[in-house]
Amino acid sequence: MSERHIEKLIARAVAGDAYAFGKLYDSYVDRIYAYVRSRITSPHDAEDVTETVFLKAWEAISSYDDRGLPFTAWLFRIARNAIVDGYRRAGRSPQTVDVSAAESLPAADCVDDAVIGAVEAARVRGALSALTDEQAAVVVMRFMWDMSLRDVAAALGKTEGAIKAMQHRALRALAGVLAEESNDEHG
Amino acid sequence: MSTDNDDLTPGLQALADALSESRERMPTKARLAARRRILRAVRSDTRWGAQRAAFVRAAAVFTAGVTLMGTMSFAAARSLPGDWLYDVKRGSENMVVAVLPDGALERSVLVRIAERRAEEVSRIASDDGGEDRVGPALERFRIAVRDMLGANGADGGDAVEAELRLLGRIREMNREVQERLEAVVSDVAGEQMNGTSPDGSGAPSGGSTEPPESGGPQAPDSPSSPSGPGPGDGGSGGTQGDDSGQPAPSGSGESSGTPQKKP
Repeated sequence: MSERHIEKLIARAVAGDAYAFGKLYDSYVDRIYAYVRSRITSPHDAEDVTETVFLKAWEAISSYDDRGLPFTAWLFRIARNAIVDGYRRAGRSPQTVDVSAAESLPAADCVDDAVIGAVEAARVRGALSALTDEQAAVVVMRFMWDMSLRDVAAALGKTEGAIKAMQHRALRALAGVLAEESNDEHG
Repeated sequence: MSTDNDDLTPGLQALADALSESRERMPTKARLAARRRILRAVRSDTRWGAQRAAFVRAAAVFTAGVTLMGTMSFAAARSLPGDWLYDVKRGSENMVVAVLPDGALERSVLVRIAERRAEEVSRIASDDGGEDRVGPALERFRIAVRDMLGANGADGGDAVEAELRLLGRIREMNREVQERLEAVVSDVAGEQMNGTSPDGSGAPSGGSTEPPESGGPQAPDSPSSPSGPGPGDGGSGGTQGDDSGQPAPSGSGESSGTPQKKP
């Protein structure tokens, strides 16, 4: 769907058009789900949270102002809050592991194209859960949602430089996790 | 990806690419079930009653106005990319699409717009438009088809039937564009084979209905009347004014069907 079409749908949804909101759902549901899945391992829970995100988005859409925040960034914030709420209700904290050791690995050198190519998509997604919440958010928005640095910065309330550095660290950490997994399997 | 990633090492770039390909989609069944529940909640939301009614009314009035005034002149409707009137044409299309509140009506307008893009491709190709003109025109056609597909989320009634009709129409349009491009290409090839003049005096001699001597690939002069076999929907194809709110100029002029080949 073209940018123009999306803008039009947003304007109509803000004006209360249910049909337009349905089409926005169609356009964004996979992105939201991908992000939620990066933080929630159960597919069923992830589906519930994704639905909640859109219900909350509808509740808040009358206050959405496209001059303030890109729509994807606005939607992302709702998704992040919904995930945190989901954990709070379940009495758990977000699933993260200490990736500081992995970050110290010379990841970019030891994970070459062949290894990456051999890593299945499911494993890449699985490795995302090893990242911190913010790192996962950056990686998902940048590489799964194709958002610009500027929009990601707006979504997370940070500077573009900070996002760039975070993106780099996140990728290195991810590469480290994948390299470790690969070493465990082969060694 | 974008230049934002210029400073990534090849290894990290490969990982970034793997990430973008690993995006998981929500299972279709769950996605549709959630969609139904969400739309039910949205429709039962009473906050919007007055506002929605006002919006629909305003859109209807505007649409009617646009229809009555014909939106744009015949010249604008016939304009091609690069013509100064072309912006007028695209602008009025955008305006109409922007205010249409209803799914079915909007869909029919988007179908009509896609037909126009298809027609533009054929006319540019027939006019000996170079790749620099045909390429962007094809891209615009693709975007129009994508917009049209994006508008296929019919919510009620005969949604499946409507979507089947729409898909049939898209297939038909794709075939028409393909056929016309092939016709132009085979015309050019025929001329090159025939003419053998190294300076290649580009202009086709006369009507060019004469096939090349060898009877090579024939250029169908009028590829399978486009509007004719259109699947249902009141003969959506080339008929004018079949949908209210269409920005097409009413009346004679713009035969949306087969563009005429240059004599």
